[in-house]
Amino acid sequence: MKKSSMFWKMLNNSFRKRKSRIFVALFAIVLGTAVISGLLNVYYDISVKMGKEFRSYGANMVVAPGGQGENNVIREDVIKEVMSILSKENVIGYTPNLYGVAEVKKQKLVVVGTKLDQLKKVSPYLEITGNTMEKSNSSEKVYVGKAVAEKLELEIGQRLLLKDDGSIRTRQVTVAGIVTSGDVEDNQIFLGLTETQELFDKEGLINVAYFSVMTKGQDLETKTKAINTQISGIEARSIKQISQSETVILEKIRSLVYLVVSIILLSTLLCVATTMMTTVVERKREIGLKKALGAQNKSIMVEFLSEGAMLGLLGGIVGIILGFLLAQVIGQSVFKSYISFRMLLVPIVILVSLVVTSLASILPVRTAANVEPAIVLKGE
Amino acid sequence: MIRRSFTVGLKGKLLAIVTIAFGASLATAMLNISLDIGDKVNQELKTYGANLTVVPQMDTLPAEIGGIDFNPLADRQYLEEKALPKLKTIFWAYNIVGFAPFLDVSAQIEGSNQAIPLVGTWFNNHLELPTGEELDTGVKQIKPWWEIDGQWVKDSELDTALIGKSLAEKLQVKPGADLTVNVKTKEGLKPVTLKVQGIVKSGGDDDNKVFVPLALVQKVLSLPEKVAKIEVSALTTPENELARKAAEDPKALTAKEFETWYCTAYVSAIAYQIEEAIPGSKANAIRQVAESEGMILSKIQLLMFILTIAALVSSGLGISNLMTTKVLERSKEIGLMKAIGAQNSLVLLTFLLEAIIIGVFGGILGYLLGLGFAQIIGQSVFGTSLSIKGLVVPIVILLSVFVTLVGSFSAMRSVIRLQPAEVLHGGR
Repeated sequence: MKKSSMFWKMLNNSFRKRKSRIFVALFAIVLGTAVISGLLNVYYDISVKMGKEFRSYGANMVVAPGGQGENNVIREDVIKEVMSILSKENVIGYTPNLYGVAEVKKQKLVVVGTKLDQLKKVSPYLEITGNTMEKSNSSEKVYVGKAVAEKLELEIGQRLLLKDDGSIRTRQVTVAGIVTSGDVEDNQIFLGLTETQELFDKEGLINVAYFSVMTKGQDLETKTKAINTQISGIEARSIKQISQSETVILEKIRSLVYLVVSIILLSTLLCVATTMMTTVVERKREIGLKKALGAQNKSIMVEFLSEGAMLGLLGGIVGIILGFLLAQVIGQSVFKSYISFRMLLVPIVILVSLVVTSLASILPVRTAANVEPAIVLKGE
Repeated sequence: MIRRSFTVGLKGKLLAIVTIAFGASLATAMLNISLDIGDKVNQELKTYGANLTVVPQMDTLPAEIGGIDFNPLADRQYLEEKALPKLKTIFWAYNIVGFAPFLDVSAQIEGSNQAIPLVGTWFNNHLELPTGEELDTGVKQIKPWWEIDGQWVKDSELDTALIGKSLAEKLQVKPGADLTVNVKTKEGLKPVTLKVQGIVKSGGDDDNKVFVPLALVQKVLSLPEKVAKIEVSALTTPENELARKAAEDPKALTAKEFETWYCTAYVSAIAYQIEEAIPGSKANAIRQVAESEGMILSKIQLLMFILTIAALVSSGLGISNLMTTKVLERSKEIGLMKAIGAQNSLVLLTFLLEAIIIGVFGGILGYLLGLGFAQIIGQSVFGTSLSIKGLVVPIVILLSVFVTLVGSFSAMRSVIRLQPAEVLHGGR
């Protein structure tokens, strides 16, 4: 009982008498663990976050009519079944498309029937100018491709007459926006799906549906397989241009961040360790004195070890909190979203900080404790 | 005195130099990586394929669905195949990674009246450029995601073809089979027999098309040396305000702005230069690739920038912590110096010089080490070495000296306050 109260007294004094040095050491530990836990948090979230960024490339899965039949349409309600397999929260957006050729101002043009409000979600790279938010007269609303607008001299707000090529069905519409993509979309007209189905007399039918799906690794391939086996008459495919490139690049970024983070971790640990080491080395005299007074090597080591451990624990806890804030700063500035907190990291980071500080304080004590007290006390 | 202080406390000084070297190497590696990351990731993003299309300036609009033209009677304009090598003569020629021409026509399968698109293109064509260089380019370069079951087509073998996966399944053809198609020309249907060399798996529209050498389509359509479209894959710089302004109308720029824009690898500047090089053409940036590329690039650069700062802060703190303890450790020596009449400024000067020498040594050593680190990362992640930026040398050395000084600084303040008698007495 007496021994332990002396131990605590010594520990207490050691902290209180050397405030500035303890502060330096603690500062190093807190900063070190903050960097470690912050970067680890970011690292674990990087795939999800970058995966989301990669969705700016647009759809990565397409559902088209399957089988060997000549017909090239599928029922619109198939989408619902596909959605239930993909699970809704993973789908960033989808566009069911129905294509047809219509005559506009004596020009034959491709009309794409689609969900106009989903266009930007599936293909964020599309530039749509004009009043895209306006809800009124949505059934008369069309977006026209840039080339179409230039050739036919169309302006936003202008009224147009679409005439089905091959029948007498017509539809009066208003230009609500101009779409620029640099690709085929520039030559097309985008009309609401239901209106297009009426125009071309294909109620409830679509040609193809594009999906932008959040994925992890080979996830998409298994999902397309599941869709193909569970729903007959359609074929789901991953769009290789998008999905394959994404997998390759994501893997590279992941390994880059992994390497960089591990190097930073290593150097941070080393810095913490050297700081701890120097604070112990400078107490050689104290160790010598204790030994001269009859302290055992073991009890000196226990004392320094517990000092190191206490610093490690305290620094670790504060560091985790700061690190989480650091992760949020990175998340907000790079990905504009929050980085989730991982409970698993708490014990890991605290354990690492404990082990490093204890080891760093006990190693120099060992050499100091082996020295003859007389030599140390005498001076150099 | 400085020499003495180095020879006496050599072991401690070495520890300081090693720590600084380690910190500096980390800084070097991170700076090198984050300066080069843009180029490296840009190269990787080329797997997304072409980011520019070049088409003739047209009077009419194509009405194409999935490669089938519903407007076949309209007169179409074409580009000259001979003009293609000119792409490699523009200002940013070096940034053009690959390109392929296309000439499409609708065809019917023997015994069915379903229309399929027949696409003439270069697969891996050998070109001799006006500059004297040689180049292999074609769909193999600009569509790296294609998976071929079977063999690639040689551009010189006119009657061979690659067939899209979905179409191949529908028609039940396998590599090695013969396929007869009736091509819709102005003179009527022309039968062509093709030998299927391989099956293309792309997951996109290409799965429903038949790909043949460009020369075949030119021959069947009697359009020698003509192409309808060129797809170009180019390395570009992410767009900024200037690039957007220029994309609207290059003429709206001032002379100076125009020069900056023209001499930067913006996708719009490259498009402008292509239009200059190929008469009668219109070059468009494919926003799906160009826009998204810029987005991803800027995110990764920002991420690396932040990681670099984290690395710098972490190594900087390690160094300055070490310096603080180093100075405090020697309070006895300082006390003695002061007791025998040394002025505060002299003591500070001694310590400053020491810190600078340690900082420079550590910085140089760390720079060399860091280059090694950077190369290891470059090799293992991207499979190529990172280019060494000379800019990093002064940054790292300055940084390590600065950090060492800052680290010593807080300790210096206590040096000034030190009372010699108190220290020497041992009461700290």
